[in-house]
Amino acid sequence: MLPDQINDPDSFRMSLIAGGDFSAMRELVERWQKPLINFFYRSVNSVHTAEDLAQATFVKIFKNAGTYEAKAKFPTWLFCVARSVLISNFRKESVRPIAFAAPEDLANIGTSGEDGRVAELEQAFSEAVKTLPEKHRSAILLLCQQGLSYEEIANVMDASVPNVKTWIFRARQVLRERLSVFIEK
Amino acid sequence: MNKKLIEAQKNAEDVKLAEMPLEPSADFTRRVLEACAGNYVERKLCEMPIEPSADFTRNVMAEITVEAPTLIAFPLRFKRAMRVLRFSAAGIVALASIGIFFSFSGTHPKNSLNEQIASVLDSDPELAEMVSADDEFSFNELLAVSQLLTTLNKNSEQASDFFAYYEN
Repeated sequence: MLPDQINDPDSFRMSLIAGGDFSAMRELVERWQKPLINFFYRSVNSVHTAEDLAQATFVKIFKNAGTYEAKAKFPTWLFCVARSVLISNFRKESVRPIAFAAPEDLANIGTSGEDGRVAELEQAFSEAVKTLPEKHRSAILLLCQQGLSYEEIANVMDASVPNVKTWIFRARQVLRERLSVFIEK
Repeated sequence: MNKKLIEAQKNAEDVKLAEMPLEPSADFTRRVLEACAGNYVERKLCEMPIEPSADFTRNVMAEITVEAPTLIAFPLRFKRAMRVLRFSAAGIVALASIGIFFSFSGTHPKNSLNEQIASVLDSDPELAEMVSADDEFSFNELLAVSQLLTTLNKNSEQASDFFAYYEN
């Protein structure tokens, strides 16, 4: 019975949460808050909004704990919920990132000294990530930042593995191009 | 003679070595910068630059407490019970028998409840097979279904007593 729940501490926590165990929920929040907040931060570029979205995700997880089935690794379900919160936020707030930012715009970010230059590079990177199409950005963040496999990302995004690979390839390509234009300037 | 030859040869080699016969391709700079940018991008994508604020956990738990105070009380258990009820009428009767079995078993030490359920499953291979056939079936669900059946069957006094004990 439920072999995954025995082997995976997070799935086991979810079964406790479904039974109303608040201390298990607290453990889950403490364990996953940093990955979640950083996942959202790269999408919205605001610490405050990232924390709000992470909080909304945890509340949603608590409310839906009874429907959780330990058929895949817990992060797959977690980021599936997180992504739905993110997309719903884009729709609600109409803050969906624009689909394209011209490399010149990134290159035109002002310069003042070497320290400023590093900060500007960081800013250019953040802007470049934020302006990727949502699917491309989520896929590459789940791979690089969260360490999910291509198969797990495909599950999170309800897509095929080849699609996921294509999105990640394009995201890398676009980020490289935009950043190299910035560095060249 | 030999010395002159060797010196001439060395000079020729030096001249050759000093030559730069190749011109970089037109997009060489761009490709180098892209490689550097690619390296930077990969490093930055792995980073988690933001630390959660000190009161983040407290805020989340407060939100959960406010928004979902009664969420797991009855509805969730009911939903889980209903899922189990889908099995079969025979299964339901078998599950009800668990509650009745416990109600007649005298004292009900709470900490050995799982052992008692395991004992019932050992003595009823058909029920045990049904339970093992479904991945979602748990002891908690067995109890939830039994409780639901008790609610439905007001005449089952002993079962009600048992679940009153279990709840307390």
